[in-house]
Amino acid sequence: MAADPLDELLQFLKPEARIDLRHIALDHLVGLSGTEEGITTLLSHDKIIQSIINLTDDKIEEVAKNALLILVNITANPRGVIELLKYKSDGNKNIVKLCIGYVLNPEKKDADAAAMILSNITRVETELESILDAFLPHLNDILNAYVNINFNKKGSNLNFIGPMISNLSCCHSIRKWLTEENPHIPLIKLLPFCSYELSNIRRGGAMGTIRNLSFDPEFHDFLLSNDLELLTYLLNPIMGGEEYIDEEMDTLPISLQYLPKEKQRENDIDIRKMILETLNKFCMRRKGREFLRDNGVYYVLREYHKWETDPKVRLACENVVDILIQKEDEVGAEDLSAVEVPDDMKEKFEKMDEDYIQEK
Amino acid sequence: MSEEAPKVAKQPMTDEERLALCQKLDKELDDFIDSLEKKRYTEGWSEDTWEEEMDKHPFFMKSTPEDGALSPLAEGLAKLKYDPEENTPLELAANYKEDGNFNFKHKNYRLAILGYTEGIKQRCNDAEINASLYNNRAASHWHLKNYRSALFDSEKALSFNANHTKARIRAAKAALEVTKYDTCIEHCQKLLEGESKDKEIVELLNTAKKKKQQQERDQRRKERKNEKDSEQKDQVIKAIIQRGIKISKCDDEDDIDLSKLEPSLPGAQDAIVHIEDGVLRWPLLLLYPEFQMTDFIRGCPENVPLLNQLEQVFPAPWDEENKYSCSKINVYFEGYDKMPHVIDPSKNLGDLLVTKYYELKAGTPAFFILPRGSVVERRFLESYI
Repeated sequence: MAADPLDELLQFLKPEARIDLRHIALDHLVGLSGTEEGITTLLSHDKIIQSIINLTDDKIEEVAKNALLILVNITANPRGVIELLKYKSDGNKNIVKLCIGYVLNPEKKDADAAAMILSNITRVETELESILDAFLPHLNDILNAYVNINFNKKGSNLNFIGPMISNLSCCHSIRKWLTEENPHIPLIKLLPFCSYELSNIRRGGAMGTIRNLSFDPEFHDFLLSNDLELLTYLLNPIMGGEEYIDEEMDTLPISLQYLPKEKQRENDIDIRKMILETLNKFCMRRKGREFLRDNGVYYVLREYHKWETDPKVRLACENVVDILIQKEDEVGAEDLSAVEVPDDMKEKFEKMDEDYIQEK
Repeated sequence: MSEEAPKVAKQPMTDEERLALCQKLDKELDDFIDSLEKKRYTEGWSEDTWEEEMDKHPFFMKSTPEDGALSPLAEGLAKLKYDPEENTPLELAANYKEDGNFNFKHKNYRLAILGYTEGIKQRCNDAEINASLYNNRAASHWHLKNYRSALFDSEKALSFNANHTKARIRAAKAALEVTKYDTCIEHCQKLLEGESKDKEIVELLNTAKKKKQQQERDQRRKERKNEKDSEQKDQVIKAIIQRGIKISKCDDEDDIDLSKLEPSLPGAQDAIVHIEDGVLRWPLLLLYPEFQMTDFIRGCPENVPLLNQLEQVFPAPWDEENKYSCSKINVYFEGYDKMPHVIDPSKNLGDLLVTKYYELKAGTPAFFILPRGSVVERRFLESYI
């Protein structure tokens, strides 16, 4: 009879199965999880999924690793995430709790894969609120693992905690946590990673978190307070070793004045884009605009614009510049986000943007 | 009085005799006292000055005499307190510390430092007292504005007792004063690790961070300026080589450096040739042998005729007879053949510098100006023959 081959595999996935068989069976499943159809097939076999989850804690590291890799592949698409969240491990933990445990265990060899799974899961916004409870008790520990680059003793770098925190910051409660003392303000610890050279994933996580915060006007006053020096971290990546005349130089944040000639700009286009989106958000309100003007952001963008070659990011840059070069009476609105744009105009603007990007 | 007594004591005295003697002695004593009362007691402390006197007495003095000399009694007392044979190192250290504290209280910080230093020298093995000696000496240094020493001593105190909060606060403050901002930040952060969120420390930390940023900015600015300057210099040298200008005392192109282009005129070093938008700008020396006068002009562009510069200086204030004007003069330079060469001032300065026999001395093009066909001119030319 034509029994489903996957059901046959099931017996080899049991913890008591022979090591080499467990190994071969999992290898096969890793291959299967590499394709969309494969994932669909896997998801239709709940027992297989259950076995894989259980094997993530297998004593044989190679086996645990493969089990985690399959889950990374499955969570790469939102449907996989939604399905996977329905399962629980042997110890009656859901997949989120399980992975948090791996990430926070300095002795777990494949903590990176667990971090990737969490990064994938948190990306699915519809599920975010429901899984948040699993994170809340561990936020300080997670942050600690993020800022402590040697947290994992078995060679995992845990860079993917970055995007995970960034994803989490789509939740208001996380944004609140990031900006409140407890006993330190978490965001302050995060900021230095905006210029963490060794990994653009970790770096992007920090920048993405700032961007998410900037989307919430509630935090603008906090973000733009002088003590935080957020602007220093935001502008540094889009500045090179260009020269400014003294009057312009004096307006810049002090740590960014007279940067060495060999200073390079951020090479990751997504990070550059996030920076401009953030600046754009700060332009929404008068206070923010004035702050940006007072700190020479216009000059930095002027020089940056000469350098940027990607049309999308150039457009994002011009959008900010267009607002900043206006005097406040020309802007004519305290809060730009409150200005209602008729739908037909909206379409027109979007069309203009399209054309601009196409031209280049 | 006692001299008389043995002479009469050979035989037992009668009662009368004894009585008479007693009366006699009483009388003598009365007489003696009477004679004393006549002059006042002058060796004691007067009522007006007793406080002052008491201060001077070793038993009671509150500070050592200003001339530093100790009375023998004070010395003896001091020996009792400070003699190593009488005291253990710990006792001595404690004594010296007490001494230092006393002086510290009276703001005699220098003396206090001496006391604490002696205490430290005892090298007693009590960490607490050593920490305290160093901390107190640091405080004394602090009041004397010896911030470097205050920092050193505070850190020394911390080496004996890492939890000495006062010492750490002083270390942080002193570090700020001597612009060791990293050290200050480190101490502040250690202080803030404890639960107490002292506002003063937070402020100190922020100040240090800001100053550090400034310091780093200034450093970067300086580096950029240096870079620019040396770039400028390279450009100048490159331009001079390109133009083919001969520099005195330079054997070949590799030998040219800016030190050979510095004007030797007093106060004119900063007028050294520089380059602006690819144009060399020279300092220029005009000499008038007749009047032993000179003109010094800064920043003359190489692409402008020498005549333009001359037009600027004429008429000269010393030229009362109006002999010097652009149409009435000859312009010479002294070539490396040690001979005068007449030139056409309507040529650009840059072209003149590459005339045959021309050699640039002291980085400053120099020209002799003489009234054409004058006696002075003839004499000038004859002096070369």
